[in-house]
Amino acid sequence: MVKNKILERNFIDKGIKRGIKGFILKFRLGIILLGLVIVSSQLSPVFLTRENLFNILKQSSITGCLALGQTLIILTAGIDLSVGSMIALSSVLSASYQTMGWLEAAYIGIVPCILLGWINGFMIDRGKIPPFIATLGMMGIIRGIALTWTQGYTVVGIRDVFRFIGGGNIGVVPVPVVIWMSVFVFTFLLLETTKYGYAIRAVGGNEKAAFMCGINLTEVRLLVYSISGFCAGLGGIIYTGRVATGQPTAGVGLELDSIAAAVIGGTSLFGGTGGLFGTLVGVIILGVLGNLMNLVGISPFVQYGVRGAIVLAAVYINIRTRR
Amino acid sequence: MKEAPIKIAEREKLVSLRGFKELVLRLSLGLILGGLVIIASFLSPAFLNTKNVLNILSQSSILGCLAIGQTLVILSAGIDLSVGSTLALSSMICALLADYNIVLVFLIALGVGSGFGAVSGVFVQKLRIPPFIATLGMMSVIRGIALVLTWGAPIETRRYVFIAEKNIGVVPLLGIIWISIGLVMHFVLIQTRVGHHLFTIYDEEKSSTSGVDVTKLKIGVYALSGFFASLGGILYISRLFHGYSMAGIGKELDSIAAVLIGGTSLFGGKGSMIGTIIGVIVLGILENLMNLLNVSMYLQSTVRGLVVLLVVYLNIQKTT
Amino acid sequence: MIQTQFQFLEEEMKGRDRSRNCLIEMRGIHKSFPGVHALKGVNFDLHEGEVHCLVGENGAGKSTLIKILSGVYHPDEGEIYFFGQKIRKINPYIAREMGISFIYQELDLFPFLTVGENIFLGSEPCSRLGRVNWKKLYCGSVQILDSLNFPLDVKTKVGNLTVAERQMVAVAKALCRKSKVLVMDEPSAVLSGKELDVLFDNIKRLKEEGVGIIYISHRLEEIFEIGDRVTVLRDGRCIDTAKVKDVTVQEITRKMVGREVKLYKKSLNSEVSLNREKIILSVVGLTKHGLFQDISFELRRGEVLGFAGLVGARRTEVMKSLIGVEPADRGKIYLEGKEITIRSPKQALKLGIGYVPENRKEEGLVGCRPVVENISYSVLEKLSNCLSFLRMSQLKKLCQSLHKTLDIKLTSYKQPVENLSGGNQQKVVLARWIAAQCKVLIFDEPTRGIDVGAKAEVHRLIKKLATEGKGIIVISSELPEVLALSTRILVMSEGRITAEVLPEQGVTKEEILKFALPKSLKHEE
Repeated sequence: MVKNKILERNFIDKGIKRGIKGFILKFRLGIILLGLVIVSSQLSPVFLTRENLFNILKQSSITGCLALGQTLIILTAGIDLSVGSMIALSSVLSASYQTMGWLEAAYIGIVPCILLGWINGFMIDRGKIPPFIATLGMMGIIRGIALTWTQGYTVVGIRDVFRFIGGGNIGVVPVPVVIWMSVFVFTFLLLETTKYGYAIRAVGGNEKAAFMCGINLTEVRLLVYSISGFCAGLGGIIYTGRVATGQPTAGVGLELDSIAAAVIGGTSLFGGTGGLFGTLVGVIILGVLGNLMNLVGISPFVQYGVRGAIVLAAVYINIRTRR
Repeated sequence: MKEAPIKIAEREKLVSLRGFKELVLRLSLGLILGGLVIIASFLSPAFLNTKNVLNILSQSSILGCLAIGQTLVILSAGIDLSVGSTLALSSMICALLADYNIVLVFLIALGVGSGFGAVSGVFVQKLRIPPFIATLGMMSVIRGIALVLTWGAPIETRRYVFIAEKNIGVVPLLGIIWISIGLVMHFVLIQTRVGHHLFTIYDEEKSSTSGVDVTKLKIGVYALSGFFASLGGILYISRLFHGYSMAGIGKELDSIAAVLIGGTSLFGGKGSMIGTIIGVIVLGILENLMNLLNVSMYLQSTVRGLVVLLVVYLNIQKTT
Repeated sequence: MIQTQFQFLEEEMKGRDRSRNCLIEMRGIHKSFPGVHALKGVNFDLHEGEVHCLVGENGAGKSTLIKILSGVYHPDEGEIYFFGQKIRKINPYIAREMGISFIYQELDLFPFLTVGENIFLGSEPCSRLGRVNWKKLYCGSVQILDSLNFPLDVKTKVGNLTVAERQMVAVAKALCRKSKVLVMDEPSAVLSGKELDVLFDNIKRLKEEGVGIIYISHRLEEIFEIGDRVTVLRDGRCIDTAKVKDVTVQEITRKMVGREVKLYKKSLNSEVSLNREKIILSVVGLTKHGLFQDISFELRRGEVLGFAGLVGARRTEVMKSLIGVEPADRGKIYLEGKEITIRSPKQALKLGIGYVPENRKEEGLVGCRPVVENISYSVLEKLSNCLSFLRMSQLKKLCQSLHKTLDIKLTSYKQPVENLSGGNQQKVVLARWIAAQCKVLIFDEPTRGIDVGAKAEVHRLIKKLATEGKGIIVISSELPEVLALSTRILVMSEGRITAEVLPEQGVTKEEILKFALPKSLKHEE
């Protein structure tokens, strides 16, 4: 009897330990975020003000949109390095056609990005070009187009509607955040409730098996890269509104942030596992981190380097926890 | 045994046919180069000017260094996206330490570059992080360091200009440096055991069972890439007489293009340093031509991006 | 001058006692994988100068044993001795250092390197500075190949060689490393007449020099040509080890397939008449160059058509071409009387033809995704409404009913499939294809790597599907399984259909095996 009791106790202890470990793993994102928030609020009294918090969300909106599209792509075991340049193209094009009306200008910014995203998907699927190099090349091409279009100059003459998109509020919530959340809802529904969502994860998890089950690989790839293009185009509109100019140098380095956010959020670079909600938290974590560094006075140059280190760390942790 | 001599004769015939095919493939690169030269001289009379031609050689010296290192990495089925940033950092180091012993400065710059390269190699080999993202992250980190050192502004110094100004005979020293380094590396790849093994590490399983020390070699190629990228930084500061933290942006793409034009396969195991040298020259001619035709700098980068994609596509078609 | 393998060994053996030195000894080897006890207390040894053949059906444990020898797997129990020394740790590198070379089916040669470079990989002759002596290397390669009576242009790239030539290069590479043990895994699968003779000549010479050779093959006639001893494995057990001169082909065959010569009751409704109207699938003259030729058969509703044969019979390739993964060069396919062309699995699925793959890990399941998703892949279109939203309640109901029917053991539908046992994983794959409600279902090795209990359940399921009016094709290398399941059996060998048998007429396993073996053996009978 005594022996049983002791065994039972050990069993319970082990069970509790396992339970706690599982809890920590599952909620590690939240814990990290919480930790960052606590540290930030200690280091700077300004941090926990409503103004600052909404500011963080507002600043993260563009990266947030990019990261959502990026997550879908990474789930198919791909990558999109051209999203940063797409922001620039969208910004420049929409800024140049402001006279046509704000909606038309927005279309002119977004639609080419969708097309270019589609081309990315096509190159990767039909041309069999590895995603990183296809989108790397595209990144250079698009940046070149944007710069050529404006010959290096910024474009001025932005409508009020755009400025509202970039800097206004709907109630208490900044417009960019509204846009970002709408995109989140759209992509979340796509991923979790439609047949495409299941197909996306299957393609990333095991391409061969997905093919054998009758899933159309081409369709899936064209879809995710086009969506990523859409997100980038949208991001460019927000950017143009925010800085009230069309900038051909916009978005440099943002592709790295979008990847970092997705990886921090638990999406595996090898495809198949991960989700948009995690990416959302990942974007916020990056935003808080950036804000923290700003408040503490760390130079933007250091921040640039830190971004890279974060990506590396996140990827490494991601790989380790998969084993 | 009567069968044997007939078999050999047949095989010899087959072999000579196969060799012919390979010869044609090799020649195609030379044909591209030749074709480009002809088109260029057609489009712009200034092209075939001796001074211009020699200028191309020295202009491509920076890209040349980057591409030499990149060749080694791609042979191992990897990629190094951090070469541009390493170039910038190296140029900054040379600029900041302009008052010190020149040999010391060079050693430090090269050492730092190799060190970061080795770190990338460790990430790829030991931590199993995919090469493109490991070097993408490093690219950011290294450039961040370069930016921090000088708050973004370029630092001028004429100390190293002498390298760019010197000629050996008619040929500029810069051109001689990078081409001879390329030839030396070509020799290493073809003639030494270690270099030969580099053609096998793209398939880790196969090569390690044959006794090749894959870990050492893989980390080594990334370190070498960093080394050559730093060398590129030294040549940069001698040519443009400033160290600039924003230098080399986009150069990683060009280095990849040069390597692929030269026939090295993206998936590793196949390639040639001579091919890379030709690839660098091809890109140099292209840039030179566009300059002579007054093509805007922005359009040039677009064209270069298109060239990369085209080359990659052809490269992959050839391999699969 | 480079010493060839033979000269080297001659010198080594000069003073040595040549009697029965044990090169390799494996005692009491046990190895299990999730759900399968692959090796049950196997003993195996290899003496100097002998060719010890290892035979057994697919799944008997041959390749597992070899992988343990090469260090890819670690045994759960048992001891291994190399040259009389107990070995605690093996990996491919150590095995190589100890003088053991493996010549696999998928050769570990580099296609972009030349013959000479491949032979000397890792042991290139070079100067102190590291400069390779190419002349020495190529001369040495020529010498080694000459000693094998297989001259090749040592400067061609291996990728340009035929498979047979590549195999010889692999042998040459092993010799170059001065190996004392050679393990050859199905070397003759890709060789024909003359090349085989050369291989055997060389094996005989190596024997004389004291090299020990482990020779794995399905071709029993080869065992009698060059083997000294033979070990038969079946179901992970070592059934017998004997001297080749002491056994006959029939004895070995019987040991490979088991002693039961029982007739298998036909378990299906004998009312499945040969009514032409019930033909659901008809294949005529399917041919793919180099793989299979002139495959023609008919499949009727409610019947289970078994495809028996050995590894290399190309049954999987035929089925894969049927569903569009690698379409055939020639031939016609008729579904319910209408001619169809299938260019992709998606098309096949739409037409109602499903294929349950042989290799569930690589082609069947998306391991990281949960059970519910894996089941859904074949019915994504059917389960979604016009806006592409998935009808989740329907999906859940589907999962529940399949869960019950197949008795899949899982803790939740959201569980990643890779966490399930082999048998349950296979059930998930089956569930998916059952959900697709195909008219024709092809099962490729449906019970590979799953335990006995699950096996029976899968069999029951297949029979049930047949009674529901579907046309079922079952590919299996396990003859008892084929006999138990099928209403009709087609035997394939080397890409052709060689026989059609009806189990109800009381055919035995040996008879089927006869048709499955390559042509050369039949001459002996």
